[in-house]
Amino acid sequence: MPARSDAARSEVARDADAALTALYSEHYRSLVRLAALLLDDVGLCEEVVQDAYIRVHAAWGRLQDRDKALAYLRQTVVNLARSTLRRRLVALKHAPKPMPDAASAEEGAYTLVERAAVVQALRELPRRQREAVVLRYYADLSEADAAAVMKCSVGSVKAYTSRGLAALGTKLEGLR
Amino acid sequence: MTALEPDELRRLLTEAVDPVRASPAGYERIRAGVVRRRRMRVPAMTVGGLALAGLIGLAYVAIEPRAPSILVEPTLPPLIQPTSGVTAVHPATQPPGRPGPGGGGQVRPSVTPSRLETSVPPTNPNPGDGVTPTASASHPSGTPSNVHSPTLPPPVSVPAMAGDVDGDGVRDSATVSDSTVQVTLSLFGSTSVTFPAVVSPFTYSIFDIDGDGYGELIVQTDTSGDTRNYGVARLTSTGQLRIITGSPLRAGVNDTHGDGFRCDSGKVVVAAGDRTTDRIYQVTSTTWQVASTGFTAVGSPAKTTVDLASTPSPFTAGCGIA
Repeated sequence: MPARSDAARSEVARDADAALTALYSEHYRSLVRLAALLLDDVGLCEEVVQDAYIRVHAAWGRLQDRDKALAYLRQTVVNLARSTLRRRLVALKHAPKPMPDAASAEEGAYTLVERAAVVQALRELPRRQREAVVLRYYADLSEADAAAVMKCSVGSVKAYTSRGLAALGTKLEGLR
Repeated sequence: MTALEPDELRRLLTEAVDPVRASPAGYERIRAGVVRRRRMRVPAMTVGGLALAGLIGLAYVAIEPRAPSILVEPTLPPLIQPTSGVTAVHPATQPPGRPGPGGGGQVRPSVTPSRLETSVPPTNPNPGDGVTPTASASHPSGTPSNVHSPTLPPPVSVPAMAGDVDGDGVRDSATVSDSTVQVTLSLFGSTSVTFPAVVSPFTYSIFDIDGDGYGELIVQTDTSGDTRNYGVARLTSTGQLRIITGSPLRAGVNDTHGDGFRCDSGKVVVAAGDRTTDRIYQVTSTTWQVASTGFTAVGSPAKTTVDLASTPSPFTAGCGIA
């Protein structure tokens, strides 16, 4: 592979910076909300989304289709949310129970999210059902796009969504 | 079980996350992360490159051929007799500035490649038994075939002058005590080698049989009837003399059978003949090459008819033996 010249490299960096700014202003908030629905701890959602932006920026030169940057960003958020959940599960298994933190004023919004019945019901779903439901009905992705993000077949997405909807209906009915 | 309507779920989800606001410092945090990652990339690549270079270096050291100071001479086969032995060199007389035996130093440029033999052809210790000797591809005609270590200093002349064992151009001397021959080498000091037997009076020569620039020690070991048998020792890389097994060298006429040998262009031609009529002998001449592991027959034996009345006898000892 030929070595990339300095000029080409700096052009890619400028392009990545511009794209990062545009993606931030257009999609940052919706991605944070998406992460808040996927994660057990909504306090981590901004961290996950910021990490996803940094990774997409680093990989900008390798992106084959830059029009799909948002899809790539969304997939990175989903992957990082999965990793975070996995890490949290391991940490919860081994760590002693911490003292409860005093909630700050900024965390008020997250507390509201935590209290929402649908979020509580969502968290009781298996991970894949939760992802399918959130991607289909919050992110408004088609079944094919959701399958691409979840790295599974369209049929699986249909099954996960159907089971997730049914389970959510039952749980929400119970909560009311 | 009541399934949730998609539109209802969409509304619930949107309402649930509506209170979430993006942090004002979000963009700055992302920019800082980008800069941090960019800074980390160069050291990471440097460390990776250094680690890779280290691995390549280790692999090279692991597979590198051994240094020339290490003896590469292959293990010799058993000596002629279990009582034969080699004694260590006394390095006291080593001249300054010359590499010591086995101690690493100069490489003999002209003869070293031919000394790195990879296979040992079978030897025939008895040239007169009618077995056809096999030629050796690794011993081309005229090529010195000794397997000395490269630690020996290069010889000053090829072949070596008569009497010069260590190839420094200075004549070396030999004395005998019982069956042990002690040779005083001008380069390495004195070294000795024990033959199965040594006849008295002490009959020997130092002659460069293989033409590699280092003389071999040829000693008459015993006599059977009128046939004299000779043993051969050569200098090893460590400055010691070691017996070459399977010496075919014998000379003399015993009743109707005659043996003789002569040195010719880095090889030994051994003649063995049987009398047919009066002084006429049917002679088989076999050419032998000297290697550290023994004598190797080269080519096919030549059969000739020799009339001793008109032709010099081939049944004499050559190679400097008086």
